[in-house]
Amino acid sequence: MARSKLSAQTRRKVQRGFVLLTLLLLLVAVVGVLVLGHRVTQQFEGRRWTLPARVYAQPIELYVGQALSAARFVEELERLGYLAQAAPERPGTYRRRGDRVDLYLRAFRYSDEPQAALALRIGFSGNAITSLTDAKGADIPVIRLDPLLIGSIFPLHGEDRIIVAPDEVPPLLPAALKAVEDRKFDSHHGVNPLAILRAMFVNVRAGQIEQGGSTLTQQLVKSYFLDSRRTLGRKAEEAVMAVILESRFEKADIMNAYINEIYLGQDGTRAVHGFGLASQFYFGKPLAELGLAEIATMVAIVRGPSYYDPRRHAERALARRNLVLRLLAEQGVITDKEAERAAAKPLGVAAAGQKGAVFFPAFLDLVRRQLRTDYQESDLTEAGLTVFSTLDPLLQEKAESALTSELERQDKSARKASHGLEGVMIVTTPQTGEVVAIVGGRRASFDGFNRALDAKRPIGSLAKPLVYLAAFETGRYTPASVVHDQAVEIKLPNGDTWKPANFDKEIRGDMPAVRALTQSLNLPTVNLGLEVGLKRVARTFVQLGLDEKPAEYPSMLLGATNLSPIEVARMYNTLANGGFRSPLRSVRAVLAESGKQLKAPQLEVAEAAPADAVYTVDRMLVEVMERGTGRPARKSLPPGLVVAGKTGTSNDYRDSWFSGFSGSHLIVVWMGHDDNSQTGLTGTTGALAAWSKLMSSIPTTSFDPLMPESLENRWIDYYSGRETSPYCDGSAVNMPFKIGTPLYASDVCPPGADAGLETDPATATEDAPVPAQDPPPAP
Amino acid sequence: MRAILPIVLTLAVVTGGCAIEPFQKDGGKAVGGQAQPAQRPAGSGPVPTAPPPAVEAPSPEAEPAVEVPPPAPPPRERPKAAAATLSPASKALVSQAQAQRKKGDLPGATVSLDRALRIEPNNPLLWIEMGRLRMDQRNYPQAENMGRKALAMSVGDDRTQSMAWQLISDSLRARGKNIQAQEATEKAKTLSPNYD
Repeated sequence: MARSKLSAQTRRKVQRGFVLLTLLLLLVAVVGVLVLGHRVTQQFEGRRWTLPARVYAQPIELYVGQALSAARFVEELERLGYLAQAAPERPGTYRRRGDRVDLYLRAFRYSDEPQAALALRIGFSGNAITSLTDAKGADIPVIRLDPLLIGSIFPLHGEDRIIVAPDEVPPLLPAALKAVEDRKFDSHHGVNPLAILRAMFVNVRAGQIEQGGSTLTQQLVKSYFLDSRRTLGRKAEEAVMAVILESRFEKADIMNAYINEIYLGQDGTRAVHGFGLASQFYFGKPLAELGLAEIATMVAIVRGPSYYDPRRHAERALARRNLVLRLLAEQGVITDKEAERAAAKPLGVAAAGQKGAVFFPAFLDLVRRQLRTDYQESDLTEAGLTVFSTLDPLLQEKAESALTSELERQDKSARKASHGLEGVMIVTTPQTGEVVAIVGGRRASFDGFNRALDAKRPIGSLAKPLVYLAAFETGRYTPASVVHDQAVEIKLPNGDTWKPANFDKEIRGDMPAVRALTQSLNLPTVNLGLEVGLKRVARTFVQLGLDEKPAEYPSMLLGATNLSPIEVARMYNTLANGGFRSPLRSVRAVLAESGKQLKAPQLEVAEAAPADAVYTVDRMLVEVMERGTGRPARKSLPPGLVVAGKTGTSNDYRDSWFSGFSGSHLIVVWMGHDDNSQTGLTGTTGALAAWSKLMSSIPTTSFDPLMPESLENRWIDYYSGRETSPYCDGSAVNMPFKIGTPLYASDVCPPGADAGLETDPATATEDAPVPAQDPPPAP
Repeated sequence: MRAILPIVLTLAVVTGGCAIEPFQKDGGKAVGGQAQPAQRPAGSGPVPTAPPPAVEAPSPEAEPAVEVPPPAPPPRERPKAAAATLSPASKALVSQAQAQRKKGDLPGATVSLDRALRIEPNNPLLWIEMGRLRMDQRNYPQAENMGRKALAMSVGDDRTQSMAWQLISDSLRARGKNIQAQEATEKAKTLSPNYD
C-alpha cells in the first residue's frame, strides 16, 4: 500500500520535473534561435551596408598646355566608360572629330567641391591641349576629368571587394550558380532536405563530390562565419540561420549577397571574396566582361577554391569547369553547342599583367598601409569612404609595360641567369612626394608579395652618392677633391679582412671626386667614406629619409645595406628635390559618405640636407648620365632631356638597380631573382634599360634646378681635377664650387685659355691629348 | 511526453555549445625571406688625412671606359631672373584656394593648391601660397619650410624671394622668434624696396 503511494508521489514529482525541464530547454532553444537569428541578420545587413572604401586614381586635369594627345584622351574616356555618340547630350558621352573632342563631363563628388555635369569642347594640336571651352565657348582655365576607380578596399582588414550591383552581374552567373549548386534556390526556404539526400546519392554513385547538399543560403551563412570545423552542431546551426535569413530577406538580396561574399581564392595573406574581385584576380577583367567559359570556371571554383585553384590545379579546374558546362546544357540554361564550344577553350586564367585590367594591387597595398597609419581607426571603419589617391593611371600603364617588356627581353638573352627575372618600378613626383605609379612584379596585376614595399635587397652602388653628399656637407670636399683609387684592407674584429676591389680589378691612382662617382669606382669611394667617417655617412641615410640608420660597417659604403625599393625612392626623392625631404604619399584626401573630408596627412617639406651639397651631388649624377655608367640611356632618351641618376649593382650581380630623375619624375627600378640567385646583370645592363624605356615615353621636363647663391660654376679636368678651360680638349667638366674655392690650375690648359691652344703631343703631360676644338657656343 | 525529449534535446544541441565568431582575418604580413648578405662588423680604417694637392699627372691607364663627349654649356648661373608668374590654370586654382580660405574651407583650399602644384610643381609662387595656407592652419614650421623651398626655387628672382622672406618672417613671428623675424623682414625689404 505505502509503496504504490510513494510511487504515485514520486511519479508526479518526476512528471513535474520533466515538464519543467522541457519548458526550460524550450526556453533555451527559443533564446538560442533568437540569438542565432540576430547574429546572422547582423552579418547579412552589416555586409550589405558596409560598403568598402572606393579608391580613385588622380583625376586628369584638363587645361590649355596639358601634354595629352586627342588619341590618348579618347583612350582615357573609353576606360572611364564614356560612350562615343553622334551627339554627346548626356553625361558620360563624347564625340571626336579629328583634333576636337566634344565631351559631356559626368558629375563627380570630389573631396573639396562637387563637379556638376558639364558640356565641354576640347581642342588638341599634336600632343597638347590647345583650347578648352564650355558649350557656349567661354574659356575654362582648368577642370578635372572624373577619376578612374582603381579598387574597393576595407582598410582595416584584408578582405577586399569589388562590389557588383545586380545590374553589373551577367545573368548567366546566378543561373549557373543555381544550376550547379542549388537548383531549388528559388523555391526552398533555406534548406533543402531532398537536395541533401540526392547529393549523397549522386556523390556516392559518382565516387566524387559532384553536388553539395547545401543551399546557396547555407553556403552564404557558412561564409560569414568561416570555420573549418564541420561538426554536426555547426551544420545544424547554419541550417537554422539559413532558414531565418530566408524568412527575413528577399531571394534577390540573398543571391546578390552571395555573389559579393563567397570566398573564391587565396592570395598570400589576402582573401578573395566575391565574384567582382575574383574576376579581376583570375581573369584581369571586370565581371560584366566575362564570357561563358570564364563564368563556368568561377562557378567551378566555388566548391573548393584551393582544390580547384586554376593556377595550381589547372586540370582539376578544367574538368570541373566542363562538368559545370555540361550541367548547364542539361538543364537548358545554355545550348549543347554553346557548352561544347566553351568546353573546347583553354582556362584562360590571367598570367602576365593584362592590358586594360584596372587592378593595381601593389599601389593599393600602399594606400591601405598609409590609411592605417595616417588615419583614425574609427574613421576607417565607416562605410562608403571615398579615397582620392595619387596614382597616375597613364604613367602606371607605361611603367608596367616598360618593365614587363624589359624582363621579357632578358628572357630571350643568351645568358641563362637573366631568364625569369622579377622587377619593381616606383615613380614619384619629387617636388610633392606623390607616388604616381608602383609596379610590384612582372605580373603587375597579380596580387602577391609586394616587392616594391617589402623586398629588402642590398642597394650596392646606390649608396655611393650618399658618401659624396656626406663629404660635401663637411665643407672640406669639392668635386675636384682628390680621392684615392688605391687598395684598402680593413681588419675586422672577427678576424676577417675586408678587401674591396673595383669592378675591373684595376687601380687608377688619384683622381677627382667627380670622376670616382661618375664611373662608380669602389676603392676611391671607400677611401673617401673612411676619411669622412662611417658615422657621418650613416647619418646621411637618415637625413635623406630612411627610418633607421644603416649598420656602420665599412661595407655600408658600397651598399651592403638592405633596403626596399620604396626606401630607396624616399632617399632619392630628397636628392631630386634639392635636399627637401617630403614623405612619400599615396593618398591625397579621404571623404566620408556624409561629405565630410577626413583629416588627411598634408604635404610637408623639411630641409633635410644643405642645398649646396645636394646640388653638387646632383650635378655629379648628371655626369653619370652624360659620360658615366648611365650613358647608355642617352640613346633612348629624347635629345636635350637632362636627367640625373645612379646605377647600382650588388655583390655577385644579384641585384640590378637604377635610380634616376628628370625635372618632374623620379623612377626607381630594381631587377633580380626572388631566390637571390645571380642575374648576370649590372645596374647598367639590367635596370637602366627599363628605366630609360619609361623615362623616354612619358612627358617630362629636364632636370635643371637653380644653382644656390653660394655656388659658382668652374671647369676642371676630369682626370686631374685641376682647373682648366673648356677650349683645349674634351676632358673638361663643368662643376659647381663654393664661391672663392681655391683650385690648382692646369699648366697644360690653364683656365681662361682660348680656342686655338694646341697641345704638343711630345710635351703633353695629361691623358690622351686631343686636337683643339671649336669653342662651344656662348652660354 | 517522451516524444518531446528527443526534439528538445536536438534543439538544445543546436542552440547550445560553441560560440559562433565571425571569421576574423588579420592582415598577416607576407613573408619577406630574402637572403641577407653576411654583415661585417665595423673595423678600423686608415687614419683620415687632409686631401693632398691635385697631382699634375695621374698614372697612365688603359683607355677610359667611356668616351668623353665635348663639354656641354654650363647650366644657368644666377642670372637676374624674371619674376615668376602663374599659368592660367594655376591662377584659377590659386583664386579658388584664396576664396576657400576666406570661407574657412581649409581642406578645400588644400585640394586646390595640391592640384596647382601638380600642374606646376616648380613654381615658387605656389609654394608661397601653400605656405600662407599653412599659416591659416597654424602650422608655422611648415609655413617656414615652404617659404624656404620657395627661396631655393627663385634664386635671382628678387620679387618672389621677397615674398618668400615675408612668409618666413610671419611664421617666425607667430612663434615668438621676433629677432629672426625682423631679420627676415629686412631681407624681404632689401630684395623689394617697394614691399611694405
